[in-house]
Amino acid sequence: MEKENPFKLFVPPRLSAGQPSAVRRQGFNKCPGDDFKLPFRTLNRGEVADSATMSQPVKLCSEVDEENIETMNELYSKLYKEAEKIKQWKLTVESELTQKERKLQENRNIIEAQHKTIQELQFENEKLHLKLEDELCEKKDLLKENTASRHLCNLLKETCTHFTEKTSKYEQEREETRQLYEELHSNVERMTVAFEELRGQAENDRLEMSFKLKEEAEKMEKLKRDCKLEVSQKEEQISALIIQSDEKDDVIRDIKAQLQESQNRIADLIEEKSKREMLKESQVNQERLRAELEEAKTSLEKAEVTQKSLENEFQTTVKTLIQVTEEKEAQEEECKKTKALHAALTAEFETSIANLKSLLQKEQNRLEKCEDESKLLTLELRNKSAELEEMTKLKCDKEMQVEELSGRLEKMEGLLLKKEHLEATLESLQEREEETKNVLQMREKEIHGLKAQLTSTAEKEQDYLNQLLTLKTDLEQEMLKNEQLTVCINKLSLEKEQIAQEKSDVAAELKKLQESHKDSKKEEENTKQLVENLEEANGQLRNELESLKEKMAKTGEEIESKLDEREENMNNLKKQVENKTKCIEELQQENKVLKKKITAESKKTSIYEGKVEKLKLLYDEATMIQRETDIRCQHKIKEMVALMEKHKHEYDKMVEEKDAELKVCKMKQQEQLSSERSLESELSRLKSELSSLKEQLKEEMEEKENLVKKHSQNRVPETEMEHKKIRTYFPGTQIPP
Amino acid sequence: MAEAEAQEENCDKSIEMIEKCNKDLETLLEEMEKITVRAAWMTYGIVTIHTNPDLASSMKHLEDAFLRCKEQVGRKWQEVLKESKGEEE
Repeated sequence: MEKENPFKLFVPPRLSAGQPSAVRRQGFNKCPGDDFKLPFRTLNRGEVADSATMSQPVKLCSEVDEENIETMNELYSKLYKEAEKIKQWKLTVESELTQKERKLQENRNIIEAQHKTIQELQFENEKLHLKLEDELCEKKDLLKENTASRHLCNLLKETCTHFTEKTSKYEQEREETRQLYEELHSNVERMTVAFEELRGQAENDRLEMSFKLKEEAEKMEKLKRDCKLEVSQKEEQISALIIQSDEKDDVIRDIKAQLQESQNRIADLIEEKSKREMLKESQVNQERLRAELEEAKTSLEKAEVTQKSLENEFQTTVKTLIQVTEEKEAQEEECKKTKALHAALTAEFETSIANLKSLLQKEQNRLEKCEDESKLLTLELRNKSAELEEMTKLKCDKEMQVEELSGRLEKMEGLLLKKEHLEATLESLQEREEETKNVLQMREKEIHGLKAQLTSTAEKEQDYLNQLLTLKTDLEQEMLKNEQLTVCINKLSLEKEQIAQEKSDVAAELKKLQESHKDSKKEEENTKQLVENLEEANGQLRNELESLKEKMAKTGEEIESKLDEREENMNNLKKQVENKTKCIEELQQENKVLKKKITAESKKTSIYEGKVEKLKLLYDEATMIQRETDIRCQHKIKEMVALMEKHKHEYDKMVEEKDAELKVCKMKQQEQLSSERSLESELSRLKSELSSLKEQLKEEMEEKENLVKKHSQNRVPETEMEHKKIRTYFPGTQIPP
Repeated sequence: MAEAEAQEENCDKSIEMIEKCNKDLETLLEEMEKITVRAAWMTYGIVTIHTNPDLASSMKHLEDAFLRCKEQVGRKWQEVLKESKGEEE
């Protein structure tokens, strides 16, 4: 700049103004001299060069010109120095220019490279921008997905909350259902236990009732059978008794007929005894007989009354026995025992009967024999006594009557004796009754049997009596006849003796028969005693029956009460059963309701299960999706994060580098710009200088050429050399400014 | 630079968002697991309740006992009636 200063000092004109000034100066400068052309040209050129750069005012030039004139010489020296300096400076500047040009080129190259790099970087930036945009889009998409996932997550949260609430509700319901199930189970168990108890109770009651009913049925059947048997037996007895009564009636009728006949005979005898005093006696006897007849009638009436009473009693007993049925089962057993005993008795009786029968047969045989004999005797006697027969018959009749009466008296006496004996026997029989009180029931049958026997025996006895009476009549007739025959048949002593023997025999037989009859009578009496005893026993039995009736009534009442109780129990059981059925029905209804509830709950649970399953599936799917999305998101996020980080790092690095580079570049650019500017300024200056210098050179060259031309012939090569040198010095200056 | 900062902020926000999402997802996963566990427990309970044979067996026993009682009660009265009829006959 020091060099410039002088230029400034000297000539800092403008180009526009400088050119004319330069022209003026050139013109002015030419004036001083030609030796100083070069420097002046150089100066001018410098000035020109400087004028281009210099922008000093022109006013100073005028003043400087005046000073220059004064110091031209100094200036010429200075100019030489300065020219040299300038030359040096030119060289340096040229070198510097070349260096700077080189630098500029290098910088330009660098700039170009940097531009290229910048372009590349820009491309890369654009790519990266695109990538970033893509990634941003992906980020946005991911953010959207995240927002969507967040929405889904929120929805899932809501659903989870709902589900938790529902699960809580379901758990409560589940617990409630468990409790209900437990209650139902307990109730069902209770019900089963109750039903089983009912079943057991019903079975027991049924069995008891069945047993009782069976027993009662059996008892009833047995009683019915026994009653039927007894009824049949009693009907038979009744029939037998009726027959007996009929027979007795017949006997009574016969007796009545006989009585009438006797009465007739007594009347006849009375008529006859009117004639005789014996008839009075006979009358008296007849009266006695009548009394006896009346007594017999009374006895018959009593017998009839007794028969009627017995009949009534039998009827009452039938009724009572019909009423009494239950106790006779045990009595049957006793009866069986007594049956055995009485079987023996019957056997004995049968033996006796057989004996009696044999005796009867024997008697019958004997009677037949006697009849035959009597028939013979009658024939004989009929032939002998026709007239006396009437009287004798009468007498016999009387005697017969007397004898009959005597017999009856004897009978009565015997009866009285027998009564006395009967009383004794009654006492004994009472003892026997006391002994036989334990065997009451069987004695009825004994009574029946014995009654039958009695009837039979009575019949037989009656027959026997009849037969005996007839026999007696016959025998008495025979006796009379024999006595007659004795009277008549003194002659027939042998016959009488025989007859007496026969009579004795017959008497013996008669005695035997009488004894037998007595025995039979005794037996009859015994049987009568037994009948009386049995009647007493019957009375006792009646009493017992009454007691038994009472007992039976009691038992009946008890049974009725029991039946009532059983009926009540049955009713209660029915009620209980009904109640239980009702309970069962209620329980069934409850069970149905519970079943319905269970079904509903099961349905609910199924629905809930379906829902749960659906929810599970959804949750599973959602979880899977979430997991997948999470994984993907995570992966993506990770990748993205990594990429982002990497990119970040890279970008940061790049950015930093770029920033640094940019900064450097900027700095460089700035420097370069500044340098460029400076260089440009210098270049401009240099160009101006060069132009000036070129012009000077051209002028010099022209001058030289001129000189050369002048001295050309001699110094052409030198000048050419100088020109070449100068041209070499100013290779670049050929460039126009 | 502002863009980079904004981008960084967005990145940070996105990262934070992602982390939040992850956390939320984890919480949701835990809740879902809990819910699934509860649902599984519920199903187990329901299955046990439904498939509980005690109720059915007890109900069968009840029905059997009830039928037995009915039969026996009916038999009782029928037999009583029959026996009464037999006795009458």
